[in-house]
Amino acid sequence: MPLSQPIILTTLTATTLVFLLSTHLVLMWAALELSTLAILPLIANKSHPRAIEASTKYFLMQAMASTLIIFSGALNYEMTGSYQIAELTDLTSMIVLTLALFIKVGLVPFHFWVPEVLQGMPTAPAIFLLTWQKLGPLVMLFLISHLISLKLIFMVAVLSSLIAGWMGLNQTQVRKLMAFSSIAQMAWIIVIIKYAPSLTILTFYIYSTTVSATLLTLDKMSTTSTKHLITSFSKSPTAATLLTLSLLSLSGLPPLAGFLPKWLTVNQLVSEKATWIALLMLMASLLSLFFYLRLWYNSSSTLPPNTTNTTRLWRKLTPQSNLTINLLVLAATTLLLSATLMKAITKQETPKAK
Amino acid sequence: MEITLFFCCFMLVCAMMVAASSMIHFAVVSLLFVAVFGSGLVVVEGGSFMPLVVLLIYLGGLLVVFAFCVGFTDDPFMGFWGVGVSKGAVFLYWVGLLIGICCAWGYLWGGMWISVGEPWSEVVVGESLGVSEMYCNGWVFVVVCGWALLIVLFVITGLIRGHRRGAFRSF
Repeated sequence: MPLSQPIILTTLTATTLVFLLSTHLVLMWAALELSTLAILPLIANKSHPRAIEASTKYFLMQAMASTLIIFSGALNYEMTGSYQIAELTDLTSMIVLTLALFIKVGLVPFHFWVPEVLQGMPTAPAIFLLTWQKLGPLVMLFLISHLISLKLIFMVAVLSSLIAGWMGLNQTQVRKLMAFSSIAQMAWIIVIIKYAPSLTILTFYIYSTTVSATLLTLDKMSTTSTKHLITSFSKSPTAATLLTLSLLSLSGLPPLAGFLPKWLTVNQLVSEKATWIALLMLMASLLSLFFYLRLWYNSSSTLPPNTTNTTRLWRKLTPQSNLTINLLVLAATTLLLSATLMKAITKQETPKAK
Repeated sequence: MEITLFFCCFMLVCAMMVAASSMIHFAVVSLLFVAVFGSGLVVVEGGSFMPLVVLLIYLGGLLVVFAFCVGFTDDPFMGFWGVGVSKGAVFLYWVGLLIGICCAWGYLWGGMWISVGEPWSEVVVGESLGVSEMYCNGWVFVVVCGWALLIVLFVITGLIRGHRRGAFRSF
């Protein structure tokens, strides 16, 4: 794997860029397939049975979704004569494409592959899978968002949020937990795609930053389950404290950056008179809040029942990566910018004439 | 229209047999039939260059080498055709094929399929023009496909590295 890693990582970057730059459906499909194929060695690197199963499941699900994408493109070509994504006007092909993109992103009812794939792969490539691989399908959803039915989006978003929240409650493995958190966050990302696509991009950006910060910290602490989290404070107190910030940011609590997309999304939903949807999404995010708080509690707020001999390990400190610190600071403090942003995007009142 | 439909159906059935074969030799033969029926489909619709290219390069080059490598493998569980094939899945596949044929012949959702394509009698020249156009203005496709072939090599080598210790066993 280390020998072919440069070409694999280059391909992963390049194919997503080719996808983002193209408008022809066949080229988009080819780029998506290639990025699916290129991430397989990253998933199956350890070559234990769970990793093999994870890579097989990932490949089969993504290949099926890519098949649906190219079928919708071919159907649209027969019905309208065009392969361009902007001219995707046939109803059947648009619905099939939407569902295929939901499979790629991991929304309910196509979410079953996400926890198992994330559990089987090491923590560092999981960041790639959760952030970069979702960029392509989200941009494609953004491009066809004006044609997708609003009821479908609301139903999928509310179901994803609820089901991911409920299924994450019983997890002890941190990677599965992050998988369910990703499904719930994807719900917040697509709920607003028809009303304000810029909020979709903002949510995706802040989600990518916070989940990268969380997973990087977890990777540096080498914790994969709550059993390891409990003793991680003595291993590296700074990492456990910074994990607190990134987890609470993911859960969307106010002083931190993760609150901004939720706040603006709810604002937009209420102003578009979709109050019930906003209420359901907020209540479902309480479920995710519970398991984020459980992770925080286990890592930074409780003493483990198994005692360590000292308060701090005498061995060498685990090296803190600069990237982690940068991401954490970005994730935790972007909310301070939101005041400026809100002022910039609200209308200025005209001065009253005296 | 019927011969097209039958070629499509046979191609899909053989593709299913590639996936659902109990031994790899049957999968190779099924893949051969997939290529033959697919090329036959394009020939029936009027094209001549692409089917010849597929039959020469894919069948005559790639598949021959593949079958040769398959001959090197040892399979501890020799079986005949039908062993290990999931009968339920094959049955569901035939049901799906029947539904597809009924859609194409208009029995199901009869009035809804209106296609707006160009008449295919002009595809004899159009198809070779498409190949040259792909090398001229569609160079991005060629680059992406070439890069895909290179990456598949690295990915497969990475996945089956270590013979039996690798992620997937290579026989």
